[in-house]
Amino acid sequence: MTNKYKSFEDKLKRIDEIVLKLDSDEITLEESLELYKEGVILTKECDDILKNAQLNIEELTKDDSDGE
Amino acid sequence: MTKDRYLSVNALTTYIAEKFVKDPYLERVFVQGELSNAKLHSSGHLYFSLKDENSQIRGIMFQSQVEKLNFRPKDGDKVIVDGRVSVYKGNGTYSINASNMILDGVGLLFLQLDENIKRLRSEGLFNTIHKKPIPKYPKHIVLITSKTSAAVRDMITAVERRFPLVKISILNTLMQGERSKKNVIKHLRFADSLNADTIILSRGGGSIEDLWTFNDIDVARTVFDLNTPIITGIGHETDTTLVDFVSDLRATTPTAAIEHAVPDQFALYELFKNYEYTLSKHMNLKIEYKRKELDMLKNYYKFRNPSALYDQQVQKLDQYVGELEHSIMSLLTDKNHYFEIRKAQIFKTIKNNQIEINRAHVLRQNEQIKQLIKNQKDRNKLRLKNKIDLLDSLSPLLILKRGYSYSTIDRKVITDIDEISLNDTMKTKLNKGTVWSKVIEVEKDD
Repeated sequence: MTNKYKSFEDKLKRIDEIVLKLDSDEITLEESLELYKEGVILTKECDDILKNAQLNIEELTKDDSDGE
Repeated sequence: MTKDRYLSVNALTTYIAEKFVKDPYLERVFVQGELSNAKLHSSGHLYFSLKDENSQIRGIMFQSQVEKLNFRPKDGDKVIVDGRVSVYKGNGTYSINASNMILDGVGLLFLQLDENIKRLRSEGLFNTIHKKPIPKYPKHIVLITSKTSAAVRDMITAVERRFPLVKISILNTLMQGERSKKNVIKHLRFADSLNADTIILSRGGGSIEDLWTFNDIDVARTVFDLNTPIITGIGHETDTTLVDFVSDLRATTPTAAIEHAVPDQFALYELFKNYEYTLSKHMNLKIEYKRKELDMLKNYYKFRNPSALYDQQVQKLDQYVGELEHSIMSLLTDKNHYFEIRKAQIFKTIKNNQIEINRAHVLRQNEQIKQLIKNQKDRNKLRLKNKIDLLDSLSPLLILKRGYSYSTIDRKVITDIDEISLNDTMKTKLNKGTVWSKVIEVEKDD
C-alpha cells in the first residue's frame, strides 16, 4: 500500500491526506486502522529517507567558454 | 607708455568674447565631468559647475532645455554636457552654455535600470498572477551561478545543512562582464529544459556595473518566460536588480535563496514527530469514539428488552385494523345511503314518465279507434252502394230492356233446349209484357 507513494513529497502528501481522513467521521474503524498503519509506516520511511540522504551534486557545463 | 595704448575693460572683454565666438572648437563642445554647485534657479535655469580632479568650469542651462532632461541633476552626478562656450561680459567669466546633459557611468546605469523597471512594469511582467509557486519538497534544483564563487559554496552548504535529499545541478555561468548576458540567457533556457523543480539564479554582491547583466531587459524577459519556478538571489540585501522583479521569488542573498528553495530537515523531523502524534491521537480518539458507540448500542433498550422491538408494531397493527374496519363500515353506510336515495329518485322518475307515456298512448289509440270506426263506416257505405249498383245491373228487367227475354214452362225457366217439347205452352217474358206461345218445332243446334 505504501509503495504507491515513492517520492518523498508524495509520501508527505499522502500522510497529510491520511491525517485529514482520520479526522473525518466517514470512515470505518477498519479503514482507520489501515490508514493509521500506513501513516506510521510512511512517516518512518520519510524519516529514514532524510536521515540517509546524501547530497547529490553534478555539474552540467563542460567548459567555461560556454558564454557564446 | 602713452595713454592711448590702454584698452578699456569692455574692449578687452569684447575682444576676448569675439575670440570665443569665432573659435570653431568652442562652437560645440562635449564635456565630461562631475556636477557641483548645481542649483535650479526660480526662473527654471540651471546653474552648475562641471569639474574633474584638476579643473572646473561654470555652466548654465536654460529653462527650456532643463525641462527636457530625463533626470534631476544633482551634485556628484557624472554627466556629459553638450554646449558651446561663451563669455559673460558682465563679470568677465566664461562658461559652458549647455544645450543637453546626459548622465554618464553609474548614473546612466541607474537611469537605465529605472527605465527598464518602468517598461516591464507597464507591460505587466511584475504582476503577482505570473508568479509560480516554489515547490515545497523539490527533488531537483538547478543552480545558475559561477562554480568558483563564494555564492555557490554558501548555497551548497545551505542545502547540505537543510535538505540533502535534493539533487543539485550546477550550470557554471559567467555572472558578470561582456559575455555574461548571452551565457546567462543560454543557461536559463537550458535549465528550463531539464524539468527541474526549481531554478536558482544567484551571485554575490558587486557594483551596479558588476550586476548589470541582471538589469538587462533581455535577461529579465528570459527569466519571465521560464516554465520552471525560479528564485533569484543577486548581490546583497540592498541590491535589487531587474530580474528580481520578474522572478517568482526574490531572495536577498544566495543562502536566502536556498532557504526559500528547500525545507529544513530539522523542521521536518519535528513534522514527522508531529505526524506520528497526530495519527495516534486521531486513531485513539476514533477507537474511543467507536467504543462509546458500541456501549451505547449494547445498552440500547431494544437490545435489553427485545419485545420492545415489536410491542409498538403490534399496537400499531391493532390500531390500523380498527381504523380499517371503521373506514370500511362508514364507506358501506355511505354507499348504502346513496343507493337508497338514488333508487327512490329513479323510481320516481320512471313512474312519472310511464304515466305520461301511457296517457299519450291512450289518447293516440282513442283517436285511432275513432278514425278506424269512421273508416269502417265509410267503407261499408261504399260497399253497400256498390252492391246496390251491382244488384241494379244484374236485374233481369234491365236485360229485358236490352232485347233479351226468358221463357218458362210451368214456372220453370228454360235454360236448355231439351227441356222443351212439342206443343208445350211456353210463357216468354220480355220488356214491357208477356207472351204466351205454343212450341211448334224444336230444333236443336248442332
